[in-house]
Parts: sequence; C-alpha cells; structure tokens
Amino acid sequence: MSSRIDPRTRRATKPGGSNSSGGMVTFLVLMTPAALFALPTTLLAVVGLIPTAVAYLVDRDPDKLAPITVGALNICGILPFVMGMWKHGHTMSESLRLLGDPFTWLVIYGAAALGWGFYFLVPPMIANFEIMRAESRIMALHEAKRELVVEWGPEVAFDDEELARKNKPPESKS
Amino acid sequence: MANEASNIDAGRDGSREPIKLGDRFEILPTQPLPAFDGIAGTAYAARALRGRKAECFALILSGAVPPRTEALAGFTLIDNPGIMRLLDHGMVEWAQNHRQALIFERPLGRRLMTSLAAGFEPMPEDQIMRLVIQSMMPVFKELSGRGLTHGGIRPNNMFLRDSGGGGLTVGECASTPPGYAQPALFEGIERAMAQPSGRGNGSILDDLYAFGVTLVFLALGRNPVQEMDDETVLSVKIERGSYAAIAGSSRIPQNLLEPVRGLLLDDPKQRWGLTQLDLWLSGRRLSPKLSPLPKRASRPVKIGGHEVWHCRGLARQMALNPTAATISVENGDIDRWLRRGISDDVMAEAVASAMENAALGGGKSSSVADRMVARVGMTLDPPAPIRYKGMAVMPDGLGVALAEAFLRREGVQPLAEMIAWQLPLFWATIQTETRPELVPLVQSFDTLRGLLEKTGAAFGVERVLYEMNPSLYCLSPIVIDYHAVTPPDLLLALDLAAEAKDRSREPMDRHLSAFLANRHKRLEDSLFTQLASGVDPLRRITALLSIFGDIQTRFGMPPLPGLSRWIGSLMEPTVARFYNRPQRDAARKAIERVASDGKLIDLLRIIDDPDAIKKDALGFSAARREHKKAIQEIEKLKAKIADPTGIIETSGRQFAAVLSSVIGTLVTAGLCFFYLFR
Repeated sequence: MSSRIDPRTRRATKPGGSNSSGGMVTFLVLMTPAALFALPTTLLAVVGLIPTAVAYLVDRDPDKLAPITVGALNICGILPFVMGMWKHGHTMSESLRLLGDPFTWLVIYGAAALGWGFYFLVPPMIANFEIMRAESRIMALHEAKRELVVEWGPEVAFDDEELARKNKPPESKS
Repeated sequence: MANEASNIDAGRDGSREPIKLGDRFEILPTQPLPAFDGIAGTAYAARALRGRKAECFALILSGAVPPRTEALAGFTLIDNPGIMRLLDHGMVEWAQNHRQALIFERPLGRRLMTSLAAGFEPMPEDQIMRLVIQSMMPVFKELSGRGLTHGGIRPNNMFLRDSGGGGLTVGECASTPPGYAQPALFEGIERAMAQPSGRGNGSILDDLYAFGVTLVFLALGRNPVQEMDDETVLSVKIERGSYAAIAGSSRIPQNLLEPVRGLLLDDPKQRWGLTQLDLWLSGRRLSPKLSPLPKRASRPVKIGGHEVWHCRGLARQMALNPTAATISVENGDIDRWLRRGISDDVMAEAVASAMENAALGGGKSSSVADRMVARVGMTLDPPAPIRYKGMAVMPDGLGVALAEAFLRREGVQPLAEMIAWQLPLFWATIQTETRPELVPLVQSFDTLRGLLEKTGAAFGVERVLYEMNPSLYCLSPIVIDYHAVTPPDLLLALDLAAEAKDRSREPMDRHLSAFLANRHKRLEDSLFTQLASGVDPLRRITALLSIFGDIQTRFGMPPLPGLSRWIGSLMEPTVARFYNRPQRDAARKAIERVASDGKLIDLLRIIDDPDAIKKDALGFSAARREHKKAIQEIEKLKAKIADPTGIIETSGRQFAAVLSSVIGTLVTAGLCFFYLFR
C-alpha cells in the first residue's frame, strides 16, 4: 500500500504513448486474420464489447481499471451467445439473428452495466472499510505508545536533543 | 580504641543510676568529687566491678579540650605510686551525650595545694629530698622510658599519697595536651610564650623545669611570685632568667639550691636532666651555671609604647602590637636599632632577608604585613613559638592548637595560613642549632601544605587537622558526640546518628571525608574527589557506598541498618538512572530490603550492576524506536483517512477490477464446462 502512487500523478507521468499505439497496431495486425476467419463471432464481439470500448476510451487511468472491471463482465455477457453460435452454427445469419434479439442486447449490456456498477460502487465501500481499519490501527498504536510511556517514562518520547538535555549531569566542581 | 568502639552505646542517658564503662567500672553520677575536677572535665566516684579493691574516680571529659588520646594506652601501663594511675578509659553515654571517661586510682591523701595562691607548711629539706625528689625520680624515668611527658607537674596537681604524708603522687595528665593546664610559671620561657594548646609535646626537660619550680613552692610553702600574673612572670623571666625570677629573692634551703638552679636553667641544653639529678642524689655536687641573659641594647626601641632592650623582648612586643611593629619595621627603626643599639649587623641582615621573603607569595597587603611581623619575630627570637595573627604555637603544637580551634569553633584561618605561608618551615630553617627532629618536621609541613592547598572534599584544613592529630576523634557535627577515632567507630557512630531526628541530609561532610582519607589509607583518592558537593548525585552516592562498604567489609563489621537506610534514602537518583519503570520499582524494593539488612556493599551492588544498566539502555533504545515508528505510522494513517478519494482511486478501483475479473473468470469457466460437457 505504501508504494501506491496517486493515479493522477501516474497519469501525468505515464511514459511511452507511442509504444502503446504501436502495441495496438501489432495487436490489430495479428488479430485481423483471425477476425476475418471467425467473422460471425467478430461481429457479435465488436457490437457486444462497445461498453468496454467506451470504458477504455473514457478511463484516463493508465492502469485502465475501468475497461478491466467492465470488460470482464461484458465478456461474460457475450460468451453464452458466442458459445451457442459455435455449437449450433457459426454463420453470419445466426450472428445477425442474435444481434436482432433484444434479449441478447439485454444480457450483454446488462452484464456490462453490472461491471460499471462494480466500478462505481465497490471502491467507496472499500474506502470506508480501509478508513475503519486505519482508525482501529491508530487506536491500537496510541495504546502501544501509552504502554511504552508507562513502561519507560515520558523520556521515551523525547528526541535526541531533549534526552541529552535531561541526562546532562550538573556541572562538576572537581 | 577498640574498647571504646564497643562502648559507644554503653551506659544510659541522664538518669542518676550508675553508668558502666564496659563491664569493668561503674561511674556514680550522684557522687561528684569536685576535689578531683580538672580543666578538661569533672570528677565522679567510680567503683571497679571486678577484683580491684582500690578506690577510684572517673573524670568525665567535657570535650572542649583536645584529648590526649594517643598517650592514653601508654599511661594505663604506668604502675607507679608517684603518679596517679590511669586504670581505664572509654566512651560512656552521659546526660544523653557521649563523653570520654578516664578512670583513675584515687589518692588517699589530700591535694597538696588547692590553688597556687594557697599557702602551706614549708616542707623540710630532708623531706623534700626523700619524699619528693627520690620518689619522683622513678616517675620521670618511667615517663622518659615510654617517650611520654607529663606536662602537668605543679603543686596543685600533687596529692599526698596517704593521710600520714608518706610521699607525693603527681596528679593526672591524660585529660589535656601536655602543658595545656600549666600556668606560665611552670613552663620554660619559650613554651610559656606559646598559647596553652600550642605548646607541643615538649620533653622530659620541660617536666623537670616544672618540677624545679615545684621544689621552690615546697621549700617555701607558698607561691614565690604570687602577686604576678602570667604575663608579668614571663616578662620577668625574660629579663632576669627563670631562676632569678622565681627563686632569686627567696631563701631556698642551701641543699636545694643546686637542683633548683639546675632545673630552672633557661637553656634546655644546659638544664639538668635525669642523669644530673641522679648524680646529685647520689652525692655528686654539680655547679650549674646560670644561663646568660639576652644581649641588652645600649638604647631601647619603642613598639606600641613599650620600651624593649633586647631581641627576645622586641619579638614579643611585635607579636603583641603587630600594627606598630609593621610601621617600625618598614620605616627602618628596627634595622637602625639592631645595627646601632644592639650592634648586631648579622641579625639586621637576617631581619632584612625575612622582610623580603615575607613579600613573596603575594596576597593582600595586610596579610603580607602579618607575615612580615611573624617572620621578623621568628628571626629575632628563633626558639620562640611561631606568632601570627594573635596565635602563638610551637611547630609541634600546631596540631593541638588546630584541634582546639575546631572544638571551640574559633577561627582556624590563622593556623591554616601559618602552614600555607610556610611559617613552620621558616621557623625550622632559622634555628641556630641543628636538631635531627627538624628534618621530619620540615617534610611533614611540606606535605601538609600540599594537602591544605588542594580543594577536594578530603583536603583542606580539615585534612590537615587529622593528619596532625592522628588520634583525634572525628569532629564532624554529625558524629562529634560519639568520639569516633577509627573508621569502624565512625561507621558505628553514623549508624547511631542515623536515628537522630535532626540528622543531616547525608552522612558525609568535609570532616568525615578528611577523617576517612587520613585513617583509612587504602581508599583511593579519586573516591573522595567524587564526594565534592557539585558532583553528580549518582557518582556521589556510588563513591559514598564504595567508601563505607569497603570499611564495613574490610573490618568485618556487623550490619549497619541505620546507616544503610540513611544512604538508601539518598539513592533515588541512582534508581532514576533506570528508564524502565518496573526496574525502578524493583530497585527501590531491593534497596529497602538490603538497607534493612544493613550491608552497605550489597546496596552498592544494586546500583553498580553494569549488565542491568546495559540491558536497560538497550531496552530504552528499542522502546524509543518503537515509539517513533508508531508516531510515523499514526501520521501516515491519519493522512490516508483524510483522503478517501485516494483510497477509492487506488485500492478501491483495483479491488473492483479484481472482483470483476474473478467473477468473469468463474462465469467463463462455468459456461465452458456447461457447453462442452452438456
């Protein structure tokens, strides 16, 4: 936790924007033949993953936690239809049929909405939980400090200068 | 003193019941014997508890006069009918104070003279020869053999041995320093010029001088110079010589003329000793020559309105009138008188040299003037005592004079200055005759000066006091009433003093430290350095316990719970040295427990435990680190609490992503399983 960096700072300092676009090009080059080969699946995926794409575009965080959160559930929404198509006939007509079915849209975009729900609702809950835990830890640390003072005296809280001043013996006449 | 140590708590307080001195004698406070009172104390009847049938009495010393402790053991060994026998001595509790008691055998006859002014029937010549001189010879021989002097031979300190008049017994001399109670009449000129406490030990020749004066009293049945006071007697002795002053105008029996003249010779080298007296008793007739009188000047010199005709008189008047003397010395009157009046250029040169030496060493002008008067006085009259700022002491009497000054709470400063300005050394160097005893005297005063000039707790004038009086009891106000002479006595006294309601804050002062440094030479000087008032209390207490613990262990002393508790009450700074509070509490309990046991060395072990101190220091360092770490963590947590958005943006979002990914993974796995194996 202590090594965490403020996302706003990270955003400002994230290097290699050109590398990121280069990686995307490589990805597209590799994926394009596969996408053309499985065109019905590609069609369903492209349409179904629009919420994830939106999340990717709107999330300014270089870690891209919004597309991960939304995308994981978004994919879960698409996957039953893709697998059903693969099992019953991997054709463009089947793909179009599915896209024409409102239930498909409901499931896919519902799952994506759940992802957005996670993205917006879980972090405040986690923050509250961490604040409660920190407050509890502060109380425990105060108690530990008090016990140290009881056992070792107020000098235990002195800095080096104060301690040296207190321990300084009176001026010797001899 | 071992018996005194064991008797410190003997006897009872101011009750009128008999008070025991050990298990040997019983003193009867209800039966005072004023006839035996002395200058140092009062007499009471006493009785022996074991065997002895002879009557005895006790002299209870007031403590105002320095006792002659070092000679007491020697006097108890003298068993001679010619001297009052000292039977025992020790400490008793007397009217709620500790007092030294001397037990003497009580003479059966009366005191020869109740006072020096009283008259009595002159003693026939043959009786003086037979009953006095012959019976006193063994006394003088025994004293001389034991290296003791009586210092109190005079008619009013002599007793008839029995009511039938069978000889004389000389009274006690153990309660005062030699010559302390002697009028100037019974002392030679030099000792008579010294103050009573500063006359020094003297020698058997001084006792024989007093005996010569006593013979004159016995022969005449009266005081031959009754109308003169001490100062006048001394002046006449200086002017005319002792014999002429005391016996010159009296009819001394022909047979006694020789011994009287011989014993009253002012020059100690010429004075009759035991050999001459023995020869005279055996029938040899000697013709003692009278000592030459001091060289008389052709004209007098005036000091403070007094005309003086010779050097000795001048030295004496200078001491009596130091201001006038300073003027006369500085304006050259003395030099002119010495060169023209007395025609002694050598003396004039010596005086000039003494004046120059006096200015060395600096100091205030008044101090230089006092030194100059003292040095010039010594130069003019070398055998005379050192006279400085109203004090007049022989070098070997300086210790007793210092003790008396402390006992009477009078100024000790002039005596300390005498040593600091090396007046005894000057006295020794100007003596006209070489005397072997002057060599150790010079060495000892050189050492004493060094001790005086050091400023530590065990040095200064108190240390000089105990160095010069090796048998003097400790004069610290804390234990003065207990008359402690040895380190074990001192610890026993402190143990008893600890119970006093008005005891001092701590069982140590300059007297105690000087006393212990003198009497317990095995202790390191550095320990006494730690006792100085400005030293860290922890180091002071450690040094105190080291000193007392060493004495208790080395001398195999019994437990000292009073003293231990006293020191224990001062040990809080040593406890406070531990940071660990439980350890402090444990140390306090241990101190309380060990203090009750009375073993001082165990108290020292509690505070002088390097392992415990190291462990405490290490634990304290670790605790400080832990405390600092806790403060830093609290600050970090507070900063975190103050920024909930940061938590949301970081760990909150991450957690949501992880949660979403886990759910996604599980659902994916479930769907794969469903479609593949359905």
